[in-house]
Amino acid sequence: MKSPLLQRLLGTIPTFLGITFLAFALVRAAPGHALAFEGDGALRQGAATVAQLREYRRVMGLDDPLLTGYVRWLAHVVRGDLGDSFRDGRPVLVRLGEALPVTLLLSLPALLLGYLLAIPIGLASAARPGGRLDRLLSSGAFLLYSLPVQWVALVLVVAASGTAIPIQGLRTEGVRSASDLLAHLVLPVACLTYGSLAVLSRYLRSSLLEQMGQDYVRTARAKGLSEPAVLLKHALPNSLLSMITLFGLTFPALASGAVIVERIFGLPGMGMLTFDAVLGRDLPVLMGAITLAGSMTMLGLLVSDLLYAAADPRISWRSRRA
Amino acid sequence: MKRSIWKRFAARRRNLLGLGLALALGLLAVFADFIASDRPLILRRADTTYLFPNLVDYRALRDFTARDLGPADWALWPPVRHGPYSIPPLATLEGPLPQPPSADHPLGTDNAGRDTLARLLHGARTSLGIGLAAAGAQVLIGLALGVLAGTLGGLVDVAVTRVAEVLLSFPLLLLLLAAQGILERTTLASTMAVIALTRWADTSRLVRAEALRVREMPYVEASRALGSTRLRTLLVHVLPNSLSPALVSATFGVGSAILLETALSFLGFGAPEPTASWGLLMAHGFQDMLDPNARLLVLLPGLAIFLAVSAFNVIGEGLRDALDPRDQGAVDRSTFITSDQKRALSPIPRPDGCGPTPAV
Repeated sequence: MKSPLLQRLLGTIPTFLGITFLAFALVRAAPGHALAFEGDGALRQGAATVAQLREYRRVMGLDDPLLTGYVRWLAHVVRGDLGDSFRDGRPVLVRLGEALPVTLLLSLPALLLGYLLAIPIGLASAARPGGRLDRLLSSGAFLLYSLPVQWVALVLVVAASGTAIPIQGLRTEGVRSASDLLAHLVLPVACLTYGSLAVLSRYLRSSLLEQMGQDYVRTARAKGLSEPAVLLKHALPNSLLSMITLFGLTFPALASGAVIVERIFGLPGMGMLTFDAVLGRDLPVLMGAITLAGSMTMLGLLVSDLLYAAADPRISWRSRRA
Repeated sequence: MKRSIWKRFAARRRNLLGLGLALALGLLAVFADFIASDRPLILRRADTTYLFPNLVDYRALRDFTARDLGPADWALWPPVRHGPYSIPPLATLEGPLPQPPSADHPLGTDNAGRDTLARLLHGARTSLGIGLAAAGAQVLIGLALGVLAGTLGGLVDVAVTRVAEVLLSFPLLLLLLAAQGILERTTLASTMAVIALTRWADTSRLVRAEALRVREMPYVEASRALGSTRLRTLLVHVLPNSLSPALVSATFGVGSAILLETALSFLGFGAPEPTASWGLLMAHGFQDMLDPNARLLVLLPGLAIFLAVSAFNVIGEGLRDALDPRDQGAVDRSTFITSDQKRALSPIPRPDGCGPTPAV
């Protein structure tokens, strides 16, 4: 008898293979069988030599038939070899290792802030659904959905110009203090937070309202608990559990960075790395970024399944007995 | 039946407001050439009357400018006398670009001296066009795959659900960027195509859940008992029922596609230069963030995007509530799917549920 957990774990393998195969096929299909790249502007600027490109295509199996090529490429990846960047010749793994911390520095605080702020907002909305405060907060969240992030970024930059809040980069030249770093993070993190805040607070509100209609809430009310107590002690914990299951789904976004925000604020994270790789046709780095995002997607789906099972006892990963 | 849907939709003022806004933007987009053009609507010149030189490319008018008008000639001009692509001759330019608002350019110009108002109006055409086309394509793919997965089950279902699951959680902008970057050059059509090819999963997920629900309905069982074939069940029962979630998903899809198009264009991987696109306008504005004139190039298209996207999101929410009156008012279904649907879908609820996709 196979356990569902094992099945689920094994199920991630085809997903990973599927994602990477698709990415591989896409990159292969890119115009520019080695020689066509000679005319490419990015290459002419010395980003990569044709010889470099030929070497990469040979080693990574881009010149072989699709399937054998993919297997070859996969064999390299499994050994931790993602190739060298065309741009500066350094291993892709090193470049990913440099960019990932910058991105995490932005995305983790943004995620945490999103959750922390969404809880009071969701509670305030659900306390009196349809009330004035609820309508205000709900439409506020709704409007936040529709704002393009570039717009928010500019408004923040304009608001911050003239104040001490820096608007570019990660550090002031020559300064290496934590407070300087924090100040540089204020604007980008704010840009990254507002979107997830809107999603999470709306999700929490709906989930709280769903809980408030359940039988156990009626019981709690019947035994004389006050409305705030019912909301905080009974409905909230259950809603939070369902919110935590969403956590896994944020993995891919956490690790792959926010291209637009990083570009506007000049931050060398994963988003910038990917953008530059696409722009300069740095195939090894692009494949590396896609592989990382693919792994994170797979991991995120797995974690969210596991959390879901942990939060909802009706779903179990243990083998069911007949 | 149809009337009651409209009644429920129209019962909320917000819905009508959203619909009106979307229609107004649509009209601006369709008639952009009549509102902003550097060619007159009607031109009388050298004893010849030209109808709609703004639309028709008359050979005799190739090099025509307003100064060529003789004393006996006349012209009926559109309210904005600038086209989205007309770059004024260098000699006539005063001051640095982008220019601030003036009598000639009510909203200023962009970095090339092109009229911002004209580009905004024509940008509506690009954005709404891509939004509608991408959402339409997304729904066609999603509807077909979702209905097939929901009715056939088995391997088809597993495959569709797996691919959809990955597409829904893979970082969308990265995927789009990679897809667009691999193309030799991006066009409006390729932008539309990559958006549709990555966003269909959102539709198929909702349609599949509906198909699973309908399949188990007593009346479908009854029709099966009467000898209805699989194909008939699919076409007569499942497909019509799946249209409502597909329609809702399409409406939200327009908003998402507009946001994605502007994001891609902003990064230089969407609408190619010199298309009038809101995203491209914003990109120009960002070349110098602290120049107040350049700021206008970000703020105005940003507001336009905001209006368009929220109009479609409002309509989407209104439609969803109007099409499905179950437990209306009791619970706001804006961002979560019922627990039944959740189990039917996969063990994974999406943070955005069947709501709009947040800005990237």
